[in-house]
Amino acid sequence: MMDSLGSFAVLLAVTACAYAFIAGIVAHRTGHPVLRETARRAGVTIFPTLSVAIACLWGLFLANEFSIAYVANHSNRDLPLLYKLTALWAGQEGSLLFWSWILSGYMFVVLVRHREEGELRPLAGAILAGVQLFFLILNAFVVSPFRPLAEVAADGTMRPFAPPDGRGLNPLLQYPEMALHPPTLYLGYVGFSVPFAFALAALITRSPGERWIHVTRRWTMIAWGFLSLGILMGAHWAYAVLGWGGYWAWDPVENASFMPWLTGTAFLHSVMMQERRGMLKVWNVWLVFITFLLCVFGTFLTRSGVVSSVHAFAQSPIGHWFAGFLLVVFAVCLFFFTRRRDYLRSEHRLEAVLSREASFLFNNLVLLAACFAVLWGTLFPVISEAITGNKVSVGPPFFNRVNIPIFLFLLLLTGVGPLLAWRRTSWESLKRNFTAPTLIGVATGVLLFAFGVREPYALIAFMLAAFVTVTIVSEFWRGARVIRSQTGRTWGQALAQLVLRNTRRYGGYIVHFGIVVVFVGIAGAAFNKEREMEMPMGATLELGRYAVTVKDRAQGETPNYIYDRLTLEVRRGDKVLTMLMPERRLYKASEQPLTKVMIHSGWREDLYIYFAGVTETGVPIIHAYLNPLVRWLWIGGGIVILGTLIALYPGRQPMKVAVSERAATREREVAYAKGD
Amino acid sequence: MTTGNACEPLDRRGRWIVLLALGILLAAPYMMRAQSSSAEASEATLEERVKRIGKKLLCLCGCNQILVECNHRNCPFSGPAIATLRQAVQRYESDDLAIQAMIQQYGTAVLAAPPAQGFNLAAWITPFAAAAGGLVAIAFVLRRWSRRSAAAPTTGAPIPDDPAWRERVRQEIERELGGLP
Repeated sequence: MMDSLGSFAVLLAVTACAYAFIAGIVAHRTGHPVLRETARRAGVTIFPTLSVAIACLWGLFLANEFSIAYVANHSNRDLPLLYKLTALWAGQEGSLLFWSWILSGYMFVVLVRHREEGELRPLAGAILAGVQLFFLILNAFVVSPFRPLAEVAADGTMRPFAPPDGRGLNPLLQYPEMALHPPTLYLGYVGFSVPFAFALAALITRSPGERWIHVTRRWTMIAWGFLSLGILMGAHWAYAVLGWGGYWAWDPVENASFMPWLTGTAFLHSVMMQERRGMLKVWNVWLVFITFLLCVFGTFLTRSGVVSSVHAFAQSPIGHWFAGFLLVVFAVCLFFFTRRRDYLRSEHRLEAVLSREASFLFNNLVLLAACFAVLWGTLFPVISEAITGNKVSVGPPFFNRVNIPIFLFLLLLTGVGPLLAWRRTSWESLKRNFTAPTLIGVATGVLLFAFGVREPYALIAFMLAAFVTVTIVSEFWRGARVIRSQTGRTWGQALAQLVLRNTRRYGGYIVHFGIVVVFVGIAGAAFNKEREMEMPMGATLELGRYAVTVKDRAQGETPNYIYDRLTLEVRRGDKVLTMLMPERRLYKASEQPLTKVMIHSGWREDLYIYFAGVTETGVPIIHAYLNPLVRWLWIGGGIVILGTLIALYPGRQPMKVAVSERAATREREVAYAKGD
Repeated sequence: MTTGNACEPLDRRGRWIVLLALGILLAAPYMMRAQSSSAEASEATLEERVKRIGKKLLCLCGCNQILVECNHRNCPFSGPAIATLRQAVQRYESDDLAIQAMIQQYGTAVLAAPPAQGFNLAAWITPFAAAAGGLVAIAFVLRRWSRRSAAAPTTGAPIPDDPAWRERVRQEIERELGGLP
């Protein structure tokens, strides 16, 4: 019953979506108002319709309906409730339906909220419907999650089949963070469809004014925030679950999520040049297009199996669908770009190399170079095999060696860019703004060197972190000082008023600070230590400041898995810090093993314990890692998200500031023209 | 005729033998410890080398992890490959030779990064070449834009040369920026 209802809901959504797409395009060409409104309404109905399909799939999981192939393959009777819900996106079919549902949610918001966009919104809605239609066709006809299981009967006919229990959920996905990581990542990926739709619609309609760029920027920021959160959660999941002591392995699927993040970041910077100076229009439109194309390309990588990846659970033969879609979207973008190129002519030209505009150009270059390096490294094995016939691997050593210098340069620009003035920066202002940060950065380096830090990249990262932090703090300090002198408020109140006055600018600074903290966390990896040891009862492993002693070992089972658990006492000096209980599990339904990592996290370092195995004589083997500064990575990520939320919050004068910037520019132009 | 006895002082050669024996006796514990340390050191060096070289190699089970960091239980690749690497490290003093032995066994795909030779050199050069190309392009664009701006300092809509308009703009800026630097 529920599977039929779910299938019907998906088919209904396909019909509504096809209408929204076709009627939207026809309405755009004919200007027919009724057709336009019906297209909008059809688009709005997709979200509730797909919500029914999602509810049905969840219902099938909760009812242990193993006659449905997707449920049988990703759940079992004893699976905890939370994981029965998260199993929805554990496999190909469900995750694609989930993708469609999120896209329909975005579409719903766009069609309901952006009524005032004139010609732009209806066409953007039609483009979104076109994207949605592609995914719905896959949901309905290619990889339906409602497909029943069938077996061959004795007479050779197919008949429905329901196994007594399911195969269970992949143990790696049985982790609370998995309830949030895929949804946030998808919200990011799918979210980039909205700015894409608006940018393409603006290009097609030659949308006058800059309203479309504000809408596109805002939606990009939302998608970027979700993608950042999704990547961060994925890194944390890898760290806490996979048990190899790291959080980023440059896996093709990780790279697939990182590439649109880089181009999205580039757009969020370069769009300011368009808003304030009417520059880089071609560049910005292509950044939006490329970001969306990279999202589709990432999905193609995830699901095609063209490159080997740890995310094997998502591989299937639907890759060519995505390759086709990618080509069609690219062709459409290229077509309208060539036809409407005159619309994207810049209003102003750059006036000086020492200016905010130039720093944005360099920022974009660095971000795109990083994106290209990641893309190149991800695809090189395929390219190399196609050309030379030899298989090569491109793993973490390549990506680290190529990307670390690029990212350190980006960190430098994070500090330099915001302190440069629009149009032109004088040497005096340069000296005034950069003397203190540079001195503090250098002093940090000297101090760390004196304390024995010799890793060159880590040393440079810490120096730059200090430099950028001082530039950011000085921006807040100067602004708050003026408000204090004008209003007599406390520092806290002055800072709050400063941020609220221009949430976008100061939210951006907070994001920059978060990135600095993330860099500090990553730089800590240069000092990682590890040790593996056979540990019978009472044995002690020493690593850094810690001593880990085996106190107990217990074996047992829960309804979901069989476990072998160690109880470890962690001491620092004479003080007992904590008891850790790493486990080795064997999940009953899937018969898959999993090792539960235990982490004692601190501000200075993480003690990371992994129950690696047992010897032939049954003695446990413990692998311990000492990972300095990892906590700062998560804190930095949190600050990035906080900054994004602040930047999204409507400031008291968000538009006026932009207007005033233009007015200031115009005022300077007047002065220039009059020779003042 | 004289016969030697036990109390007779040792001759020159005998004294040397006794001294040598005493020396050996005294040094024995140190030698044994040193020998043991040397064995441990050799063992430690072996494991360190295995770890060091293993970090340049990749597990080919599909997990894309560094060979010595692959922690998949019963991984069909990493366990046997690490054993092969240990043998290679024992056999060859040079890390390069040990890596060559691994390549012979598993192919170039076992290297975690492509070797910087032949076509694979492109893997290393291309990202930096692209960045350098971008830099040149930016320099070109900056130069062109700077020249154009110098030739035509004002663009866009015509600027009204009106003192009232200028004053209004100044007031707007003052009001909106609130005197911020």
